[in-house]
Order: sequence, then structure tokens, then C-alpha cells
Amino acid sequence: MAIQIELGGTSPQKKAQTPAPQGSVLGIDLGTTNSLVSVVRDGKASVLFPSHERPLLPSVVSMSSRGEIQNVGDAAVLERASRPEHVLFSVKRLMGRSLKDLQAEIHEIPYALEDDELGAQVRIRVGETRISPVEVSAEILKTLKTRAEKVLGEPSNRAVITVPAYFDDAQRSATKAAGRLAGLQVLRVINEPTAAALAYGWSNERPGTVAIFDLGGGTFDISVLRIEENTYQVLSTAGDTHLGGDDLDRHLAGWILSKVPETHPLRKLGSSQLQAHLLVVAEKAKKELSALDHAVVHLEGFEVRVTRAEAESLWRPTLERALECCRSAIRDARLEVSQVNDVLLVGGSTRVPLVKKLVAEFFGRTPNDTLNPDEVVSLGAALQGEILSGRGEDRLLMDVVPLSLGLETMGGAVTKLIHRNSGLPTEAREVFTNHSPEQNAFDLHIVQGERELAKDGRSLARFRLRGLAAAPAGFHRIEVLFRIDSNGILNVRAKDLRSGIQQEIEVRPSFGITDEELMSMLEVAFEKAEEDMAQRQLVDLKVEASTVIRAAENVFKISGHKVEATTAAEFKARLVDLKNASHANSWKQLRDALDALEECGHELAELQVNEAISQALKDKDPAKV
Amino acid sequence: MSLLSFKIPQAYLDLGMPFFLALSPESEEALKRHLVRETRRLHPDLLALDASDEAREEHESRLAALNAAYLKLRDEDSRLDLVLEQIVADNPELGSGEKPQIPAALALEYFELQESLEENPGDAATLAALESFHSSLRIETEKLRREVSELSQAAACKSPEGMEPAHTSLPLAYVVKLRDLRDRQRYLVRLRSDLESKFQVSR
Repeated sequence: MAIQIELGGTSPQKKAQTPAPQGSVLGIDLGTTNSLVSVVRDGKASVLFPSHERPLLPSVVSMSSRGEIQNVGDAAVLERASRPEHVLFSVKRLMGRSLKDLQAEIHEIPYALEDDELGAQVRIRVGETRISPVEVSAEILKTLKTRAEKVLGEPSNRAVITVPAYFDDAQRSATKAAGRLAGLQVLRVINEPTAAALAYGWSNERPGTVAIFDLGGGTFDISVLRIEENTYQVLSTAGDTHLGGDDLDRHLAGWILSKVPETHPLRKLGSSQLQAHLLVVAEKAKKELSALDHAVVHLEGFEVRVTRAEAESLWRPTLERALECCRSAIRDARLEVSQVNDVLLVGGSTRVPLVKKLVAEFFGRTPNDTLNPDEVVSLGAALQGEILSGRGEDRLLMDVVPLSLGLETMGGAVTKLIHRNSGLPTEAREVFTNHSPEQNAFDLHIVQGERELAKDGRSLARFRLRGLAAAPAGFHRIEVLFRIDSNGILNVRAKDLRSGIQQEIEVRPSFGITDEELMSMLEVAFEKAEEDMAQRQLVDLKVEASTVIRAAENVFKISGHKVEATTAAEFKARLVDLKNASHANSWKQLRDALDALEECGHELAELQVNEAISQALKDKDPAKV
Repeated sequence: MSLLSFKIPQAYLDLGMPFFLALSPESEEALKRHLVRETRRLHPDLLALDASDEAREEHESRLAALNAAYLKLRDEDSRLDLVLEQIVADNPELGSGEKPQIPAALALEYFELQESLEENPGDAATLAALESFHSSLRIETEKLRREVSELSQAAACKSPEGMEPAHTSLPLAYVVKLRDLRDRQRYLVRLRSDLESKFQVSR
């Protein structure tokens, strides 16, 4: 009898149809605070943004009170003060997370959360609507895609999206799903610090060992890479998905609040409004403190003065956690701190002087802050897109597994199968046998993370090997091969060593959105997109029609009597048709009416042009024409 | 001197390098270079875009095996365990070896410590004794590690005449000593992690 693999909670991946590739591969940094998109043109990566806007798109999405997406980016940020409960920010922290995962920080999240039906992915409650972080992220990605297409003047449907190195599978899959929802084929999800290293080494080959210290708005990553002749080898990576500039803001906000007297009107605000307000002023003070030794916070008739030293003592414990990660990454790379040749600063929060100081002390060298810390990640993603589309000029990125993969064993302990920082792709084999004649199946539970107990790790997949024939204890020998491919996807193959029969399955984490759900969300999104587009075109055409009507009435008044009566009557009839169509809501009808009027209006239009010319000639000295 | 013949573990074949037991700083560097060179040869990202799915799968699978082998073989402990396991499998007459012995003084200290832990848990003197025991364990493991390391450096693997292909051999006396050292080392490491998990001793 053949052994079979049965998955619990997950479904085997169906090969999704890939749309025809369009345009250049977009490199997208989907950040906690800001996002941006880059592309490689003529071998050079650059950030794409509309000329009248900033390169950074705030990762902020606002919703109308009817639960529809209202604004993305700066426009949504503006709404934050007046209607905080409708403005979603830092959703990256919620990607692929359930309420249980978020327990420790739930008090820091200003909006209402609830689990989805599977209890695997939170949804945000906005008024009567529920929206998942994946959908919110998809809105940000859509905006970035549109931005890029506008600048490039052509559609683009492929992307490389970056994630913190320490993102687990659920978080990565959620990110991919957001990409697909935004109409992008995600060629690969790569680690932010690795992308930064790629951008750093691309144009200026500097062989050696580089540490990339990436402190963003919400996450911290450290990666150690060895760069040599076209090869970027990640040696190790470590990080904390809950450590970033937002934490600095929060600590400062808490301190500011402690200085506000109990009688101050601010104290009367609801807690979410108060928090939103304080975070805004704290962030502003934080930025000022990067340049000045003190900042003054103005709070309606009350001032709080904060010195850089005071702020730094609030921030130091948080930043020490980042250094702890650095220590672990250096150890995993089997290096001494002194062997690191350069330390690259990435992420907006590395602008904080205390960060630079602590990094310099830790590594014993002045960190390299010459690259734009906001842009370098997205540039690197675009460069990886270049490699994946065969234009990388023989460059190669050797990436690693960010988190260990283990199997739950008896008693809930975890046996590591694949260790973190193993090169990608990689694999591990394990042979299982039956403990009794009656045993005809094995249950396997794959856990991700460094913790010793399965319950502390992140459950990646459960599946069952079944169909074993009754046989004496120890008879069966089932070899299970776990492979993580170069895209970071886990493949499990089971082979009956006695019969040679093999079974294979691709494991996908249950991060809350099943393939079916995603497909239906995609369908809705496409339908909506068509609806939105049609609505938009109708509005544009109505504007055009009203201009034409005004012009036509004018022409008719001036020249209507100069053409044949039938032509004039025809023109008049068409004009009436157009007026009617412009009040109706059919794009097609309106377009036809416009075309019809234009056709019969030729003669009139010519007449008028000729008259205008002769009039002009009359007025002016012929010699000058 | 009697020699134990054994099959070269699969990891060496996956790695594509001749058998070695010890790594000098130079050979460690050579191992790293080998990894990069082979990865460049096998990585699917460097394949032509129109390469067949079969070619991709073939490259992917060989590189996965290479990466797994590299991790096993670059690490001294796991490399020794892999080789010893193979030697025992191919030479069943070796048996399971003697129960690892730890130095008598250390054993005595351990028993005394256990006693006082039962009588006065949380007592300052007991905790201090625990710390001191923990650090002597660390020193002892380190000593053993160095011994194992020196011993494996000294190993000269031979491929005597008439041996099956992909086999190599090591002197029996040497293997016995290496296994004993490695068992003791493992035992101490277990003791240490046991203590650490039970009593939160600082590292």
C-alpha cells in the first residue's frame, strides 16, 4: 500500500496561473512606516515617484465611514489627527499574526482587532467593516504600482518585495498574498538587509565582510554578509520584529504624558486620540533631537522640554536589545566583531545619534551612513529583480534560512531539522519507524523558530503520513525529506525505503487566508477595479462632454445660419442627444453621442475656423501674417 | 596496528571534497571557497531563463544537499559525530563503548551539590557553589574539546590497497580514544545545559 501525506489546516499549493510579464521588475520596500518603489533602468536603480510628490509613501491607509478605502499615503496621514479610528498605520506589525501572537503588544495598537475564522490572522475593525492587514498592505502596494507605472509610462506586473530578515513564514506568505492582491506577480520575497547589501555592493565592489544594521519604524534586522566577486553571501541574520523607531516614539510619548498635569484639557481626550496625538508630537521631538540637544513639545497652552540626554536614557534599553541581536549574528557567522570591515546603516531610525553612537561602540568603527537609509532597501530589491529576470550580469545572492525549522517530538519538545542561517536551498532527512504493529500513520508537526518547546514556536504545518501496512514494530522505514527551496518554500517528501514509493507535498503555512479565499478576494478586487475604472472614465467623459456642449452651442449661435438647413437641423438634433446622454450614466452612450456630434459638426467647425482666421487677418497687418 | 575501514559519509560526497577529519584555518578557508564556487555553479538563479524544469530541479536538489552537507562538515562536533556514527555502523564489533566517565573530583562535586540543592535550595552559598560547578564544567568541556581537536588533527586517513571505493580507514586505538573523548564531552555538555535550564545559571 502506498503511503500518503495528508495535511491538516493547510492545502497543497495549486499552481496559480502566471500572467504574462509586463515591464521592468519593481523593487518594493513595504515598510512599517514608509514604503517605496524602485526600478532598474540602464543598469542603474532609482526610486520612482510622481514629480510633485515625495519619494516615500507613508504606509498609511484611511477608510471612509462606509468602510471603503479612502486615501493612501500623505493624504491619509493628514486624516490621522481628526479621525484616528479610520486611519490604519503600522499594519506590517499585524501581517500573518493572530490575536494570540499579538498578546504582548495589543495595548500599543490603537484600533480594534479580532481574529478571523481560522484564528490565524487578525482583522482590523473599522466601524462596521473588517479589513485584514493583507488587504491594507495590498492598497499600499497598488498605490506604489500605479506610481511606478505613471513614471515608466507602461504597465508593470512583477515585483520583488522586501521583508525583515526575521519575518517567519506566515509573515512572508501574508506579504506575498498582499502582492498578488495588488495584481503583482511576486518573483521573490527577500530580506531587507540583504537587499541593502546588494545595493551597497552593486556599483562599487568592495570585497569584505559587511554588517547591515537596519533599524526601521517597526522592525530591527542585522545581517552579516561576505561580498566577493559578484557574490553576496549572507553569513547570518538576526533581528527583532518588534523593535524600531515606533518604540522610541512610544517611550518618549509616555514620558511626555507623565509631564502633563492631571488638569490639562488633553487628559480629557479618549485614550486612542490622546495616544495618537502624543505619538505625533513625540515623533516630531525625536526628529528634532537628531539635530538639537533639546526639543520643546507644545501641547495646547503647555510646554514640555525634553533634552537629548533624557530621551536617550529612555531609549537606551530598547536599543540594547538591538545590540544583543548583533552579538548573536556575529556569533552565528563564526566571526569576531573585529573581522567586520564595514557597518552599513539602513532604515530611517539610524538617523538617531544614539543609534550611531551605540553601533560605533559595538563594532569599534564609525558606521557607514553614506547611503540613503530610506531608499537603499527598495533599490536592492529592484536589483534582485534584475538578477531574477536574467540581467544580473552573473551576480548572485546567496541567502540563508532566517529561522530554524523543527519537528515536534514526544512531550512537545522540538528537534531541529534545519538550522537557522543554513544556506538556501537546503534540506534535512529523517527516518521514521512504527512503534507497534497497529501503528499505520505518523503525525508530523513542523514548527518554526528557535524555541525549545513546540508551543512557543510558530506552527508551520501539521500533516499525517498514512497508509502503512500492519507490520512488526520497527519494520517500516519512512524517510522524510524536508527541503526549503531557493524561494524559501518548504517541500516535504516522504519515501517508503522498503518499497521505494514516494509522495510529495508543498507545505504552505496557514496564515489565515487560504488560497480559495485569496482567489475570491482577487476576483472581488478585479471586479472592483473594473468598476472603479469605469466610474472614473465616465466622470472624465462627462467633463469632456460639457466642454463640447458649451463650444457647440457657441458655434451654432455664430455659424448655424451659414450652413444648409439640413446640416443645421442634424447638428441641433445631435447636440440634444449629447445633452441627454451627459445626464445618463452610460459611458458608451455618451461616447457615441460625442462622436456623432463631432462628425456632423465638421462643416460648422471648419466654417468657424475659417471665419476666425479671416477675422484675425482683418484685424492684423497682412504683412505680419 | 589494526585499521577500521568505513564508508565515507554521504555528506562528503554531497560536498564534493575528499575525506577530512580536522580543519586547519587554511582548509576551513578552502572549504568556504569551495562552497561559493559550487553554489555559483549550481544556483538556479544563475541558470539560463529558458532552462527546463528538470534542470532547475536537478540544480536545486544538488545545491540543497551541498548546503546541508556544508553545515554538517564545517562544524567540528557534528562532523565527528557523523564520522563516528558511520564507523560504528560499518564496524558493529566496536559495540557501544563504555559509559562515559567524568573526572572523579567533578563527579564528587556534582553529588555534593545535588545534596545541598535538595537541603537548602535558594541558599546563597549553594547558589555560589552551583555557579562554581557550572564554570568548572565549562573549563572541563573546553579542555576536552581541545583534546578532541588535537586528536582529529593528528588523524591521517589512509586508503589501503584493496579497499572498496568511497571507503577510508582510521586506526582502531585512535577511534576508541576519539569516541571516548567525544562521549565525555557530550555528557558534560548535557549536564551543563541541564543545570542551566533548571537553575538559570548565568553563562
